[in-house]
Amino acid sequence: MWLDYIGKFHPVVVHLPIGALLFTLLMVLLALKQYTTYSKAIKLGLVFSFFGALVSSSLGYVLYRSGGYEATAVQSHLILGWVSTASLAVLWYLFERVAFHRVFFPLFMMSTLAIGLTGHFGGQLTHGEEYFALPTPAPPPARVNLDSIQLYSQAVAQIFDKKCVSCHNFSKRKGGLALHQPQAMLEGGERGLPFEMNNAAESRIITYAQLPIEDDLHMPPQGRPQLTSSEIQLLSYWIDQGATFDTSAPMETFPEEVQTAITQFLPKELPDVGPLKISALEALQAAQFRVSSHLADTPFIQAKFEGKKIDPSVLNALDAAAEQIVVLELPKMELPQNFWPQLKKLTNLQKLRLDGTNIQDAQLTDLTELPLRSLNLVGTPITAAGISPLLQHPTLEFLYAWDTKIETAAQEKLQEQTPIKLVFGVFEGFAAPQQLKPPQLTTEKTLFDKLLSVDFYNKVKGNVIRYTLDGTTPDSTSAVYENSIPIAKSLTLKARSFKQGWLPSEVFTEDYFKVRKKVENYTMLTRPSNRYSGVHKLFDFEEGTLNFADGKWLGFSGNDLVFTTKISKQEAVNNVTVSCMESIGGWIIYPKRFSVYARNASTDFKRIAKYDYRPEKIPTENTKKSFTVAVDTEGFTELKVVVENIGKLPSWHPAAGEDAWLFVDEVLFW
Amino acid sequence: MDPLHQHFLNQNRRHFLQKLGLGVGGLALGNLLDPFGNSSGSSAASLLQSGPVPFPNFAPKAKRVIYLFQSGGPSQLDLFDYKPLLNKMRGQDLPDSIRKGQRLTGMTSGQESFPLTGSIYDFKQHGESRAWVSELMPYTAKIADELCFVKSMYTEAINHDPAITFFQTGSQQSGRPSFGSWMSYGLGSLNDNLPAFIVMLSRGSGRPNGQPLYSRLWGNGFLSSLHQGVQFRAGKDPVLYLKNPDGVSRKERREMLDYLAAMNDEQEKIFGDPEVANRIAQYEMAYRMQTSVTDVMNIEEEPDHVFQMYGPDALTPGTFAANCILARRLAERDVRFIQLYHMGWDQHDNLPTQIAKQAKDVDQASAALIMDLKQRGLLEDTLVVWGGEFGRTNYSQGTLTDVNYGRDHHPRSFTMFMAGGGIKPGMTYGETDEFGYNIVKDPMHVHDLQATLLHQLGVDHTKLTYKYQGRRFRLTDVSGNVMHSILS
Repeated sequence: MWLDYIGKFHPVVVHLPIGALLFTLLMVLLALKQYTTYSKAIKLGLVFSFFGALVSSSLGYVLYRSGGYEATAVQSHLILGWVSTASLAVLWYLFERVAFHRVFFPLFMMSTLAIGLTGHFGGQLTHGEEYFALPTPAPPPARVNLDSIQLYSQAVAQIFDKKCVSCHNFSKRKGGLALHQPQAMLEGGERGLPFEMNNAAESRIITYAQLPIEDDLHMPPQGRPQLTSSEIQLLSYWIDQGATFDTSAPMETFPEEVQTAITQFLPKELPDVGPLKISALEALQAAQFRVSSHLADTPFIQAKFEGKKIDPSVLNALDAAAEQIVVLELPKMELPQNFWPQLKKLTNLQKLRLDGTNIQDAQLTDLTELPLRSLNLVGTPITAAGISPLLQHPTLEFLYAWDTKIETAAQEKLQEQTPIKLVFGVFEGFAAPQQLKPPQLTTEKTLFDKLLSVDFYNKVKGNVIRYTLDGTTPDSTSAVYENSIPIAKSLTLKARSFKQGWLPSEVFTEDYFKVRKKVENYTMLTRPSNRYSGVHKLFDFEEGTLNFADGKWLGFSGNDLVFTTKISKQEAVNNVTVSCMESIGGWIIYPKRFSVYARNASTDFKRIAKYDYRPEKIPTENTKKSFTVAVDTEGFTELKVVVENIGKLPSWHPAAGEDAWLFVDEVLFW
Repeated sequence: MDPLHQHFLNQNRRHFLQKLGLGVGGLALGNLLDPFGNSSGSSAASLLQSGPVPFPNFAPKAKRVIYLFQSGGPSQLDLFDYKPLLNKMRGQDLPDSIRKGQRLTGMTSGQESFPLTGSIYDFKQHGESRAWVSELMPYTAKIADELCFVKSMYTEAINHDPAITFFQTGSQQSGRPSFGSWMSYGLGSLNDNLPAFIVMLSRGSGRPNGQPLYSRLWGNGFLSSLHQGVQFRAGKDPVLYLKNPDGVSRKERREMLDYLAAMNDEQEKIFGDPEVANRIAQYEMAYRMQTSVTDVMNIEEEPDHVFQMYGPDALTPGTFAANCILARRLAERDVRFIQLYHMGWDQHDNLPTQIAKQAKDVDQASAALIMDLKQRGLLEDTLVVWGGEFGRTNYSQGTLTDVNYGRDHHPRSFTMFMAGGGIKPGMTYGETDEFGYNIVKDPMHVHDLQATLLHQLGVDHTKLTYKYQGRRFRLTDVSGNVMHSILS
């Protein structure tokens, strides 16, 4: 036990041989000039170093035996300590015998090195291995997702790291307990587990922290930074919830005081920076940045470049507001080489738009140190290899890399490597070839008595309209529409749109009637409704639209359309067509029958043609239809046309039993 | 009359107060023209704020809004709100316990019975979010995981014009500023060459002669006329009266405007009416728009794959799909509020045929717009809203047949969807009862939607006010709650 106590003086004694040896080194160097003056000092130095080393090593060994140190961590320190001691003995012996033997200098250097290394490993034991790590720039704070707070890693672990781990870690296990990682915690220490699951009140980590500070068991020990009450609250909550290491929950699910405690450990959204100088704002404006406030009452700004060229004034302006710029947009700019060092200075930049710029792979590494959340690289020549350094970026959430040199094959692989949302812009189902819309005519007129010319709308780039006049379906060999199509006789026009990369449209069909008899004299035997009257409209070649109130339709409520007209020899026709509409909401139904009667001077009217209409199904939408009958008017002088109203609305109609309407816009003789 | 007395009469109280800077409008105008010219604050950041009330109040998630207004009231029961019970109970009367005395329009209030009808269209769940979408909207279904469906919208209005006016201005009576005008006023413009608020209309092929829209829906109300929505049209003249008349060159126009501005300045000095300054600014904006509008409307420069993405309609100017491409082009140019109206969603009869055509008009283009914004990195700060002014009834208007039915207006529950701008993707918010009639979970009022949209733009909806006729007016009137559950 006393021996164990003496062991504690190891850290004090170790410094003696190191200092003494360094002093000896100085003497040796001086002795090269004036041997006699310094040889005694060398000898004394060596003796002092040797005995110092011997005592240190012995005490060290005692300390090691008393426990608390991991064998593997101590090994190099221990061995090197003894090696140094032994080599010092050899040096002393050599110097006694032959002064500066030729082995003396190399051995001296080796001993200095060995004792230095021993010290280094010792230092690692007391201060931790990270102590000697080179200073690295602090990584940008990770983005906080309030929907998924990992209670352990984002808060609890940080309490342990800050307040406990310096004495309870892998290489230094005070009381046999290590708290540097979950696995070690669950192994417990000499007194058992640090916490009882779901029971903070019975957990040592909490009860020890609440002991009076003078108590030997109080943790952290007197003189060390203590746990704050909110940290204890957070630890208790974590233990009561089961002391899990990998569960996460939305922020709002925690009790309010726990939320407050957690918040202390979350990185701040935006750091405190100085105010934006008016001169900086003016410089940005002068350099053609559109500047807007990012958030009221803060100096943070968003800047979009609206100029033409990134010149030195632009870079200087960025420099002046380097801390305050949160959003920077430079779309489609040619970025000079000296832009990139400048960009690195924007330490609070969260969103960066570089779409359409000349950024290269090499410059992407410059972006890894910025606290970016969103980076737009659309339309730039970057490659899969180029963006890989960004995949581990701690704060980045969105990376837009559509229209870049990253092949489709590589995209999925890249996404697998990172939680950052990579957007490549391949959207299933949107890129398939689609069918064009059928062509549209500029004119609605389809009835004529002499000559008609028709035109199509054709505004679409690369769109080709092909048509036929003989009733066949247009294909890629049919005539191409360029100028107006003249129509001189009754025919059917069919047309389709064609375009590279698209499926051809459905066929557009229009029937044209060259009317042989233009009706000018007629006798109406029935009356249309006053609201939809004007009998001449039946013969004006003006077709109605699907809107029954467009003024081109004649409407008959409950009654038929009957009229007579004289016909001369020259006007002999082969067909009679009547054009009607149907609209359920308008109570308009197609006629049930359409007949043509004829007579000459000596006979009565005799039916020469009829058409009975039987609908195939119950109509659902507004439509137009033409009914045509073939006639032979040879030898007749007068025709009578009868279009029979269905009478009452049929049983399927919402207003069944009411008077049905008959609507006619044109009657043609051709 | 004494000229001095005349002068004081002309300079009335309102002008006087506005000149003193009590109206935010005057200062916001300053921001639009010269963000720093008439401020004298000490810190540069405070100079960047538009008025005495500083915006943004929160770091904005969205910079701009694309509002795809489906005018007429799309049937939620045939598009998104799947109610199998209605198919089961087809033809049975709507129970009074569900209707609870709901006020009906004159179109069905006289109806003897209210036969329930489900949709004749199939519904399926889509994406990882398992959102219900009917077969009428296959492209929307494909991107379900990008969308936030709100199934529990409700309004008080039962007829089109008051209902649309309510959505756009926060009041059923006309006369208040439209949403886009409030935004332009509160947040200012991000592009000097285009208006901050642009409107485009398209006709629905399902019901081409449907309800008309009125330009007061994009009016500035009592705000400065600078904040008025500007309608862009398809065809030769996208903005009416913008072109120089034949024989007038751009240089001559410039000289004319300079001279006119000088004369207007004189007038302003005499009368002190701020609208004179607004008029000068509007003339200048129109002059700049002579080139900027031509540029933005030049849809021909879009590559073919864009047209393929938005669908064949996009090739025809004036269609919803073509307007969607334009909306994306305007978003790229940082226009704050882009409002599309697609008409014809008013399916009182022949619903199955009409709605299929309506859906075809908008489905692919709406979905393509959202994905196109996404691939360009614009969706994260563009909030896309899709929806009508109310829903439609769960019972048939007119006779119900096997293949045909109609639906009347229904204010108590309907579906909208949103995407981007910090709205949570892949979620469905709110729920209606089995009859699809009443909301049973998480209701969202029109004012709630407005408050939420403003919140995403960084604006506290209770702070965006304008004092007029003795009252501070708000877009959300005296209510509205930000729906935090749908925010990411």
